[in-house]
Amino acid sequence: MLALGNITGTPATTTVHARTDTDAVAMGTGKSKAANTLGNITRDQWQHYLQQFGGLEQQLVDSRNDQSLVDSAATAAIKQARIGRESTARDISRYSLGMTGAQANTLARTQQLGDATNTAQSMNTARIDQRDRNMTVMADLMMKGRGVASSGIDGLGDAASTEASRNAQNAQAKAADKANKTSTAIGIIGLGVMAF
Amino acid sequence: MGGGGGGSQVQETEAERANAEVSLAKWNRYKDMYRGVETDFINQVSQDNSALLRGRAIADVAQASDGAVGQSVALNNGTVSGLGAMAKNLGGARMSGSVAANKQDQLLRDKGRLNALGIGQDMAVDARQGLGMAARASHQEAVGKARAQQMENQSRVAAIGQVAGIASGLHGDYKEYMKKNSNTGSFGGWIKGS
Repeated sequence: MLALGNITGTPATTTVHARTDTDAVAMGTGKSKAANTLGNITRDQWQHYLQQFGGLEQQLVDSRNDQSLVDSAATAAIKQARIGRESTARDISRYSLGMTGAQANTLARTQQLGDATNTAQSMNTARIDQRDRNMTVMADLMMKGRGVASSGIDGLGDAASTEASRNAQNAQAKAADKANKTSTAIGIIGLGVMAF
Repeated sequence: MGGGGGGSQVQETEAERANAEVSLAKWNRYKDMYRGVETDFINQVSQDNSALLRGRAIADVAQASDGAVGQSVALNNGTVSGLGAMAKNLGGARMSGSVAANKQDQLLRDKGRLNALGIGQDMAVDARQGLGMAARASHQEAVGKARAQQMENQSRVAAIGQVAGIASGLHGDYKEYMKKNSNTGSFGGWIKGS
């Protein structure tokens, strides 16, 4: 029977044999060279996939709840607000614009209000962009996951089919062998009795 | 083909072994890596983000109407007579922005959920096809085993027939012997004599 212990229960570990040489796939030996070679290629290809793309795949999966756009927007909003205030202060100084205390207070309040509005707006935009990005990545990953599951099911279906056919063939061969042996034994006994 | 067991037994080839191993590894990879993604997607796609979208829409209106008061006063020769209309327009813009944001959120949620459902249904179809394949394989095995059983039964009947044939022949010989030696014949004598 096919060992399917990992289908349910605890997370599985990949038990496919690791590649032992460089990139070479040795031609099979013995009676079924092609089958051995195909077996080697199948394992090698899977190992290659894990080595070459497995990390990338894991990175994408791990990034599905990423918040870097929001985080960077918050940092950028604070920085840009500060730069804006400094720029205004430099302009006031450059053009020697004299302001009364009340005017300076009004300017400060306006700047504060503007900074708060701009920060909120950029944060909102970043949250929406982040959500769009994360949902798109997850949707694409789900499609990939479906491909992985489908490929696994197809392969297991083939394995189950060949196994069933092998078992049936073996049962018939065993029955035929038993019939032959019985017939031969009776024939020998019959001949013996007749000779006696 | 190889020896061992009764008759020539078909052995699992290396290709079959590798196929089964890799397929199982793929299935387990899907389970470990992608099922969490599906759960996260389904949980997040249903979330209400209308407030976020409304906030952005209103902020867009606010940005677009920056300086509107000054412009209104300038257009009305320094008077505030146009401010009422301007405020009404701004309110309308904010309201339609909010409505559009709610609608967009609903559309996005529906689209996402439908996509998730589509993928889920495709996966269910794959699983059903896999089950169908497994059922056909089991059926094939059962039919093969039934044929083997039938072969065994036929062979048993044939063996019984062979034994019966031999016994019948022997019985005929014995009857013939007893006919010829009706007075002195015995089973021991027949055995010896035959």
